[in-house]
Amino acid sequence: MATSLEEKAQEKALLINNNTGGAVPGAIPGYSSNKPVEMAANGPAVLWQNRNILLLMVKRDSMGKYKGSLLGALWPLVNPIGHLLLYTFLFCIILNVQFGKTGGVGNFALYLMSGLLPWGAFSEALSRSSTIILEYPNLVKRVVFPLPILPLVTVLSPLVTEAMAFSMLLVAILISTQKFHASVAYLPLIALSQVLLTAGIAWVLASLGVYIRDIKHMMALLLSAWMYATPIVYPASKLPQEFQFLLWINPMAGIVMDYRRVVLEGLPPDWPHYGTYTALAVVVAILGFKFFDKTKKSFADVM
Amino acid sequence: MSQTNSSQFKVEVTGVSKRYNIYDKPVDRLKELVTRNRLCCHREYWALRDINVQFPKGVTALIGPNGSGKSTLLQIIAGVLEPTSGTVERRGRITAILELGAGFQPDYSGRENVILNGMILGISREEMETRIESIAEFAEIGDFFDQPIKTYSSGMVVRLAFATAVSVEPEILLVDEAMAVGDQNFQTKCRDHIWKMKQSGKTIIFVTHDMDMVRSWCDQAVLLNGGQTVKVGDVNEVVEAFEDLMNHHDKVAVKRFTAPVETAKAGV
Repeated sequence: MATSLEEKAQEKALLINNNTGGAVPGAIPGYSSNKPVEMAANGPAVLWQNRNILLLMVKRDSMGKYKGSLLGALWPLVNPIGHLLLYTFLFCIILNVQFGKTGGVGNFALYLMSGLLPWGAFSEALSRSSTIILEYPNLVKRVVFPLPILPLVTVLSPLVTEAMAFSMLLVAILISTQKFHASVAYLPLIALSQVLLTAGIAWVLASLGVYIRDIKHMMALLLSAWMYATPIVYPASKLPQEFQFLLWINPMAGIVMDYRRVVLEGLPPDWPHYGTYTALAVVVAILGFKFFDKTKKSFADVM
Repeated sequence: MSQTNSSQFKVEVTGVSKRYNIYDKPVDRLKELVTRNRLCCHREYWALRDINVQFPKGVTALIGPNGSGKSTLLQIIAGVLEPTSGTVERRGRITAILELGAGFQPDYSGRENVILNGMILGISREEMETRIESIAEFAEIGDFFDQPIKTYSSGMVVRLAFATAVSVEPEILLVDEAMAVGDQNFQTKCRDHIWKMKQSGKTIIFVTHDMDMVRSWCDQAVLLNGGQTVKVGDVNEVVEAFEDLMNHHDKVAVKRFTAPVETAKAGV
């Protein structure tokens, strides 16, 4: 391939007339400031230094996702509502799963959504992250790009959609229960742990995905197993005693349960549980970043 | 002591080698990374071996036959590829036009790409926006500026890449053969701009096969062959060495090309 490109360039070069006479083209006004050249930061500082690029790409990604589709900006709402109807029919009406003290279809729907929306953001991020580096070959091979922010795009972009749908959910809760819980103020705390956890795993998957192309095929199965191991379509109390430990080692379980406590039950997060999954999320984020940082050097060689 | 010495050269390449490990399976590479080479399972290919070149202000051409390592060297100078060993020192803002399209995203519009590329070089969005119209004008993109890059012709992509790269006024400009894609008007425009950069004391390093251009333009030339520097320095001498090399190469190639035909005939 390189050969043919070079040959083509050679061919074209022959066509060029060497006398470069003629009008002087309009010059571009140069970069005027005399700021010293910014040195590329190492380690996690690179994330902060390039926050504007991250912001631009997240904005572009979350808005561009449905560009050109008929329903456009409605898709982030259509999708969760579709799943809501599907899961409510299946688990509430057919299998008769009950949530909360009162039970009932309406209650099920609210409990389901407050777990399903965060899960949606989590699983979308993970399923995309294994191919995210491969999606941007130009940024890997043509310019010196702060690569660790690429997996973060897959983490933050679905979060924008989640936040939109979640605020609709809060309105629905307000209308149907006629109660406003001040505990929703804890939401950012829970969301932060969720982001750290998602980012840590996304960094590992993004890097592995470059070397092992099978990762993306594994993700669908892995994510549906993980979803059913998380109390999303059933209450955590339904989990048999011998499986209750899963709620502690699966950080997404604690996250989903805490979302429900703060938006539906008016309670603060379950602090021991919160501390456990947050500590886990921090460790995962640090290790994930380190792994990515160490392996990113040979991305350009592989791609 | 090295003060005068170091300011003389804008780019210094010292002992740079690039080895590609050829793996039968992609997973082998990961195995090595994780075990820190305790598990080895690759063959080696040296794209560059022990390159030592200094680039002063002015224009330097990298020449050599196909596959001699010119593009690899340029990518290492740009910082896109990590050298296996050796160091590259760069003194000043560096921009590169490596092959078609630089760091452009096919789905992003021209405008978005220009802003993104400026930001990658550490220039704020606001600053890029102040010069964006003149970039569009220089690149002659017209109404396509807000269309995705994937709808552009290859000439348009190169024009936009060039306009973006020079708009940030780099101290050091690297150009792979990309420029040869534009039409003649744009070629002229690019050359005039590079000439101006040369006059104002910038450093330009480019890969080319156009020997006339090398002779008339460059202050220095570097001839690579098989991943090693064959000759560095005076333009005329280096071009001569290149032409000798190519003549020899051609003869060998012609022999190789005709040989199987003869045996085929003999077989009949």
